[in-house]
Amino acid sequence: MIRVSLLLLAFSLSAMLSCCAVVHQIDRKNLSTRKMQFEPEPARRGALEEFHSIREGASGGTGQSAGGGCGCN
Amino acid sequence: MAVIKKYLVAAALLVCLEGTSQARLKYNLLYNIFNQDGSGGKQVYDGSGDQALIVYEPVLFMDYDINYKTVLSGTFLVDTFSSASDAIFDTKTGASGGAGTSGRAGKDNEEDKPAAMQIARKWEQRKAFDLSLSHRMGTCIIIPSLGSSDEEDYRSVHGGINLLKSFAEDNFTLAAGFIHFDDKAMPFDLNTLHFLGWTPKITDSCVISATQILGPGDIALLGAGFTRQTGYLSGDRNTVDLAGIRVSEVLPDERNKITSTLRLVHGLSGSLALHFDYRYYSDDWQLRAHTFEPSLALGFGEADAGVIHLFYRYYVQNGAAYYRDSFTSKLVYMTSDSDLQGFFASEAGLQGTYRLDLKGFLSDIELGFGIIYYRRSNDLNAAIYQLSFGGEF
Repeated sequence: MIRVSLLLLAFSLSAMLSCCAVVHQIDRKNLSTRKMQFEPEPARRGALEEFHSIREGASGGTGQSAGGGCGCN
Repeated sequence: MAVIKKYLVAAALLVCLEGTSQARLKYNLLYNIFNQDGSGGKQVYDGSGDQALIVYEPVLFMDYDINYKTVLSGTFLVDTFSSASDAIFDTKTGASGGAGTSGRAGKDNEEDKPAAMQIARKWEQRKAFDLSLSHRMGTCIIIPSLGSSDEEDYRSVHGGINLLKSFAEDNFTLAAGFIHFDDKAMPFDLNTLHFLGWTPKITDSCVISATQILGPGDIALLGAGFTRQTGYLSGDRNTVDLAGIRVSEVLPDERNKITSTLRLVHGLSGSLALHFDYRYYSDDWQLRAHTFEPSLALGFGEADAGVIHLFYRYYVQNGAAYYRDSFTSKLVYMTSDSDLQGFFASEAGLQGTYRLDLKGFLSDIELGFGIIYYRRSNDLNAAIYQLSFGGEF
């Protein structure tokens, strides 16, 4: 699984680097809408991230830190 | 506390010094209700496995636009929760109100009473806040932050900084962040039936990410994170069955975590976007995890006034090296915490927001909701309900 993950990340990185065509401001109307944001519901999403971090062994990696701040049972 | 005061004074000075002609206050009040059930918790003191938990959590988010370059943000919350496993532990051991008070305050134990006389703490509370200041300087954004969390047996003070730098007309953005947690837990010693006092738990976490606009309807993000934790990392009410006797779990005082993240957004049409998130997690407790999350976001109404987000999340982890359902002989490290067991989990949810463009003093009223169901393969399920109300002055 680790190899698959690394391959996936390497493929994604190469895809990103090979697709670096500049999209000008005037063409970003769609990109600036909420549905195109990585977190369309950032406030409510935060509560879910907190829940996952206390209920699962893994934490972090989605923009927030991994651990700390809560002694949740 | 001195650090927090310095940040508050600095923030207040910035508010005063910066021009306030464009000042704008946005607020959002979110109410989370979290209801968990399950009987697979081998860490529960009486062996019942009861992991019932209910949490009521109002959260207030505030953003104050000091000017077009600077935003002061704050999050304030008060959790009220009731946990079956906590109540069982407190009732059976006496680790509730009376016995704990003296130990927690660091005084002598003259107030201690026999365990049978203790009254289990039914409802617990956590208060927390976070403040951050986002300041744009050309193509850079700098965001210092600080926060605090306080509950009966756990305290946290944390601060950090995030930096963003964009390139190529904002088509490519690099971000880096660091946060330090200076936490303290209050473990209860099952041998002496007394609290051990505030015990430190330190967390240092850094993340880096690169975001690339791939086209008019495609964005990708690659991220990596490293976290190092030291100090008291066990759960303060988690126990293990050691040859028929309940003893506290023992976990290493160090944990190093690595994460890799891939996030993609693809616009399917003018109103619909497909999201895909993947995370790989690994740590030196031999825990590995994969998270896959495809989702759909639908924008509707005039100027995308509404958004509906439909998502599914699949998570799988192997068990940590120190996990066993029970132990026949004493090991250096022992845990039966179901959160560290091997399991997979499915989650599905629907979240939505609609913005009403009302004219006048109260403008841009925003209403939101969320319904999420979570199910774990080791007998734990949860439902989360969310309601929110926001607007701006």
